[in-house]
Amino acid sequence: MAWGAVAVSGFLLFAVEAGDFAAVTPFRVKMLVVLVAVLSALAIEWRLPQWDRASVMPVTAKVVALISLLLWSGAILVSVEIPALTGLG
Amino acid sequence: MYDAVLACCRWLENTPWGMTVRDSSWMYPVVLWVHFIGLSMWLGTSLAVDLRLMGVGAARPTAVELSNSLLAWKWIGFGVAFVGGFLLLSAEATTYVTNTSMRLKLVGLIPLALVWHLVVQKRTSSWTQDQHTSAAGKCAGSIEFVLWIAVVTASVGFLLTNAVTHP
Repeated sequence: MAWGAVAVSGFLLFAVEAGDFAAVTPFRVKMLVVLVAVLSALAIEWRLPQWDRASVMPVTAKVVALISLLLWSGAILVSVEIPALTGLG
Repeated sequence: MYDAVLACCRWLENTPWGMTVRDSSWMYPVVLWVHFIGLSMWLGTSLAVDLRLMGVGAARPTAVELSNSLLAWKWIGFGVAFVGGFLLLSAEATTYVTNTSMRLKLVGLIPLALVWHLVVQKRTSSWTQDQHTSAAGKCAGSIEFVLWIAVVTASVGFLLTNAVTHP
């Protein structure tokens, strides 16, 4: 539900200056990072019941979790850099 | 009174950290990033507990179970957001203090929401003794939810109306 609200409001902000945003590299990087981050979140959701049954958290789970953490914090970093680097937004 | 606040803001701007963030070409967005990470953790955990109190979503874990398991992450997030926010304020304090949204956020909404949060944190276990959250718990959770959304609204209002981040 929260994801839906974020996606819709983000799209509306984008729609205001879509052409300008699509043209700048930081925005393209952000969309790519968010896409991969969502895929990692889905992967975690899919595998979590299995990982949770093991007595120790498997290495794969830890690696995927770390990647997810880096991707989401990276997405925020690129987001704050969009206005700083391009003057848009 | 306002003179004392202004003097304090001027002092903040002239602190080593205030000058460092203001004069650097890259630090402001990076500190903003740190602030956002902290507040994502704080809001994500706090609002999840509020929603649980309000009875939204699955019944397990209960509000008190969720509150206890998220407690450490929640306050780590608050600490990170606070330090980041303090640095951002220090960089441009005399400009920010003139902004109505910022005044509303720092003097009114955040203290209010924070005090209310402490009340909710302390009382959650007594509200969730049955399978269902008591009416008082639902009401308190809804109020906290609205308070933090108001804090975010004031923050966005500030970003859209201040001369530093939105010239």
